[in-house]
Amino acid sequence: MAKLQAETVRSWARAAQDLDLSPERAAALADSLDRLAAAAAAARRALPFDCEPALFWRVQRRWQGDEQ
Amino acid sequence: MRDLSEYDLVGLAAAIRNKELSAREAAETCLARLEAAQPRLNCVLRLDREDALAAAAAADAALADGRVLGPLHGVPLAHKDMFYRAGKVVTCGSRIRRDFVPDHTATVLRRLDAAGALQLAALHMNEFAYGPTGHNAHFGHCRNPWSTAHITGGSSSGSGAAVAARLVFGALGSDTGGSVRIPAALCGLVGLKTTSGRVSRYGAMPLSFTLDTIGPLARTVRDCALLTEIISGADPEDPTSREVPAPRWAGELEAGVRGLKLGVPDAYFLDGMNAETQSLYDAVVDTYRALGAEILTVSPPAIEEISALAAIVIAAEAAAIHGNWFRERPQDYSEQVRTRLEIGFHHPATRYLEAVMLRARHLEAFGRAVLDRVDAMLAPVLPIPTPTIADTDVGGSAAMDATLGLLVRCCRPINYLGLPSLALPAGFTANGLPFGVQLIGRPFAEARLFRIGRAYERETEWYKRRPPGF
Repeated sequence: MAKLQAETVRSWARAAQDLDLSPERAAALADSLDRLAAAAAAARRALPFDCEPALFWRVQRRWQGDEQ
Repeated sequence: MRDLSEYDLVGLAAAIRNKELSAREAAETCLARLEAAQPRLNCVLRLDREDALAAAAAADAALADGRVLGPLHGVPLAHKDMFYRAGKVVTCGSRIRRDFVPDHTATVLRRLDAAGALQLAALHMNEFAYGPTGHNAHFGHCRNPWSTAHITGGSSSGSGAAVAARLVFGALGSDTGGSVRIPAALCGLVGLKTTSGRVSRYGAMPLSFTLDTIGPLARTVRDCALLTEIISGADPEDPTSREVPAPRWAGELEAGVRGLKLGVPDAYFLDGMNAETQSLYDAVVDTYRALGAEILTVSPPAIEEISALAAIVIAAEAAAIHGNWFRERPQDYSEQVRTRLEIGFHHPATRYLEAVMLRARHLEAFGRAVLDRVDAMLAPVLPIPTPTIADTDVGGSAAMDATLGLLVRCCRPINYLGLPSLALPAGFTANGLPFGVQLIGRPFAEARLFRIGRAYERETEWYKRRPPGF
């Protein structure tokens, strides 16, 4: 994966969020984003088509095992 | 003034009901202790002296009239300063909300009020609950009663310090990535991260609406169980809360662990432990084995990945919640919180949604690998001994990710999975600070966790030790 450029992060911040980042902050942020992007990319491969967010609650019920 | 510190919460409630002491005496004693400890611990953000004494007087009058208000009749509590109470300033540990006065009261506070509890104070916390240390650049750092040079853990820092120092008998905290369990472990307390959906979050400051949970910190398992029972249950004001029977705290608490299965993880959770913490963890396993539990090795899958996904969810949701303040008054955030919020603005929407969508798949996989095989998995809360304030006061520097990451490492994945986790005191490290473990169970299986925790507590009695000078 190509390393995210600090200037790209700065322009995103300006355009999308109206934030003004210093070049140093943008560089640090690019590093953090790169790390999380790599982890997210690995996870994404396991994502099936029909995995909508509410499925979590159905799975939770399935594993719910209290002996009240 | 009588020394009440040998009572736990359940014991004090019984003593008040039996008229061995009055609610007013309990409240005055605790208020005096809160005031006396404040210069050393800095754990209080707002003291509610007049209201608490008025409520205590009302409780005493009711009892004189033959009426018991509830299971917490006259019991002094205090809570993290993020639970809204109508008409009271709720700072959320921030400069931005220094003067915020909500017009409604959190469901958890209303439930505790209805049970007869007194709220004596609003307690210290990390700014906007976004930090695991107990540091706060606006109000000063909270101090651990076992050693004021060391962190309390956070973000429910004041809850940990105040209960450990016997200033109050229990406290609420919130847990989005370890914020109940970490201060519980570092201050030598029992703390519960509740199942997602167990406790209403109405009127509680949000950090991450997907991962936020509310839970109690207390000195004993039975105290923690009673508080959980009272605050649990569906709430029309919070549609994410579930109608699941509240755990009956007295039900199976003393049933022991013979015949139950406990899991020891073979990866991730035990990484990063040193010889000292590993030895304390092993001793907990040995104790459970001696008590009759069957110990199995389990392999929780993809936890590194889960931790990263949790970080994405928290960052994106926190950034969205704080967006307007962040743009309009960034200087009013501490450097660390500002730096942590910043990253959340830069995750693409698809990455965030993928992280949310993947929760089901990861819970399913964890269920098959762990929950299907054991009643609970045993993990440390922190893999390392409690660090000092100086070592963790990293602000928003380059060391921040690694320092904070180590503190939340064993806790944050459990929030992503939405599971309950009970933190328990499990001995002391050489620096004199408590060490804690967590029991991670099936969704809504808090009662089983209390039973397992109580068996260990009864055997070891760590909860009887008190911080020097308190």
